[in-house]
Amino acid sequence: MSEAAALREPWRSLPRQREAATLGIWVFLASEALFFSGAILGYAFSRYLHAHGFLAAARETNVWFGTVNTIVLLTSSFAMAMAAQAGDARLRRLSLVSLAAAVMLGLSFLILKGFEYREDIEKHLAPGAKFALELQGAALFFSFYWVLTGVHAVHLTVGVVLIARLLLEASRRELPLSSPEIQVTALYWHLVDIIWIILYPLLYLAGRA
Amino acid sequence: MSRAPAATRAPAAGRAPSIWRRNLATWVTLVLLVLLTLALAYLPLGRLNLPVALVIAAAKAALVAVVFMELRTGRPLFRLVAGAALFWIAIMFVLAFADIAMRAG
Repeated sequence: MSEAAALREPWRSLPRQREAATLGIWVFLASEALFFSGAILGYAFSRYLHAHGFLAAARETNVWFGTVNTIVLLTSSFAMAMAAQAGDARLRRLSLVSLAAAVMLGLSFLILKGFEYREDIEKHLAPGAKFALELQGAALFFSFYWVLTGVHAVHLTVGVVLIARLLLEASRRELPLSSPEIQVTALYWHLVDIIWIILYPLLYLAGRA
Repeated sequence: MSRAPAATRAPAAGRAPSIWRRNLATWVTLVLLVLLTLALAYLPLGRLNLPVALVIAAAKAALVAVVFMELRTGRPLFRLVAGAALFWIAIMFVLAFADIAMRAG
């Protein structure tokens, strides 16, 4: 597979193309960060107004699911960074193995999250008629919990599909390891990781002391 | 062509040992920070629990951005975009909380 296959119109060289693609994804990630910040600002404002209810509600989340998933996601980011940088250095095997690891870890996160959601629903932690907590603000906390983790899970699912596609095409040698697509997907994956890093203390660690 | 063809370009990220070293060290630090923030969350620090958790989260996010996302070695333009995102987020939070702070009673 030649390097030239990664080059697309209108760029004259791969480094140029890569620079443009990376800048483009950074602008997209900035808009994603602002999108999540809006929801997190809503959380912060509501928590300020209903501090007691928020902390009591946060104690009901399962801190073990949250912590294990944080480590799983950090590890997947590590794998993705390895995949991108190994691809850069033309280390084919390391890059492919790392892509596969990132996909597996991303799937593990989603599976664990599914089990956690099932437990949350069984404990009536979904706001609605049978909601388990009485304190003012508790239902609000769980509204943020479901929306933030739900939207995050959607982003993660998209990421898993994108990385799986890279893995498939790179292993068939249809995608050169120098392709900007790997770098750009890695940047997206890391941002999804960063969002979880912020959500973890807000949703799982609050009110534990 | 104003630039060397890609094939002759020196790999930007170095060889396998340096890739492993840099990223593995970052991963170990990140996991240690998770364990640290988990332990500190159970210590009764009063009003300090939230700031401590947020500072550790910010440190983790910064590590991912600087090392995994290669902000440190990348183009200054990428740092500018990342900085712009932080700047706009800061405006949103500062103005929103300025509203709370200035409410009477």
